[in-house]
Amino acid sequence: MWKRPEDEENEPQQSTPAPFNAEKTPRPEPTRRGVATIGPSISITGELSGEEDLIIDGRIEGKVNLEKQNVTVGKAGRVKADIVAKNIQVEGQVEGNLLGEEGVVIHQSGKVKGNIVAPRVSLENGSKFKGAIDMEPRTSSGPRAAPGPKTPESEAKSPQKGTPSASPDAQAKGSIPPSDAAASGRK
Amino acid sequence: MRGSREKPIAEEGAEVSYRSLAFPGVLARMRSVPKPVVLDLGPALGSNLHALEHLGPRIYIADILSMADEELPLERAHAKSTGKQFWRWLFRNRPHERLDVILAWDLLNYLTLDEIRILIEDLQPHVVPGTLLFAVIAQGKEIPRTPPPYAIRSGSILVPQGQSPGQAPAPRYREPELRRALPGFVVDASYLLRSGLQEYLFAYRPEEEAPASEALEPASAGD
Repeated sequence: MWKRPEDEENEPQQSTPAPFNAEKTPRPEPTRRGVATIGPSISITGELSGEEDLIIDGRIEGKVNLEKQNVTVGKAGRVKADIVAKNIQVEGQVEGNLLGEEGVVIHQSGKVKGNIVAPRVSLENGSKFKGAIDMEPRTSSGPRAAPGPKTPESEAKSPQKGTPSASPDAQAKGSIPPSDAAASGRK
Repeated sequence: MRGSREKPIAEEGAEVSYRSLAFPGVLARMRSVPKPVVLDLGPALGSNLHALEHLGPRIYIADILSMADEELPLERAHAKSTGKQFWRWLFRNRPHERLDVILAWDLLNYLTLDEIRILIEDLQPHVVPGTLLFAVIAQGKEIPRTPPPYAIRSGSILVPQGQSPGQAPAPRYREPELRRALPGFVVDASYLLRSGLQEYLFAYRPEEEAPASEALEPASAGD
């Protein structure tokens, strides 16, 4: 769904899975040791797993499963895969679900089409996102289940879901300056 | 029906914000359920996630006008089928999802009445009695050429974001027109603000829907 820049269309595409490239990009070096980078010319199809943080500047299609690691999709990164990681940062484009054990950040240049499940989700101004974000109240922490299909039974809502809505309680929540409301406000 | 030309209150320098009278009803609805399910028809805003985070919602972000730009390069007449495809994708993990709240912000001003009707028809599988729809309808002559994303600040304070490159004529939809375009929804609350914005909180209560004949008022024309 995301429009690809025209220059991407002209880029040479690797049609076969390429070997994992751990060469680091010139970006600011992560403070943590054991960071792998998939460079812009690398294209991988399949499932990635491991015990190193990962920076993706290339293309990945399949699944990225680095539950205890941090994953960054760089500006050049194009990912069509679900990503499971401790922390996920997106500067490039992702089509897939993001499950962040601790958090997910979509930076200004990031585009994500998919669902996000994480205790903390941050969308920077200018970022693009379509999908669902499942949030828990701030008091709650800890891992959550990955987004997945649900049965109609499990989808049955509590009885109050089907009841008529509570009427607006604007007045109860705080004073309303009369200057904001014209005389025709009605309930 | 129309408010005066008084500007909304200004806050934080260039930011123009206003105190919404209908949005607290949205928050009340979200508080009334353990896991509120919200469909935001507008673009994703990090500040809105932050503002609603404490309610622990599941938020679907549709960004429908971007959808139109990116996925509907043909005429909007094709919106119906492509739209359905999009909604199927959006709710693919929970095809029986039921929405507590739909946040339309001011986007209805940018859709024709037919498009609004199609949108609501496409969402019908996810609308249940009690679903609220929050909409801001411009009653002034003009609207920004592109819809400003609405940021939630401090509960009932809303901030239309950004500067539009120009103005466009406002459709100035009237309530009967909107009711026709929103089958099954009734007006739960409506507030005309001095800024010329009319806030609506529609509630899906098909059993209370007025007979169609009552909603057959002629379409409004601009001044």
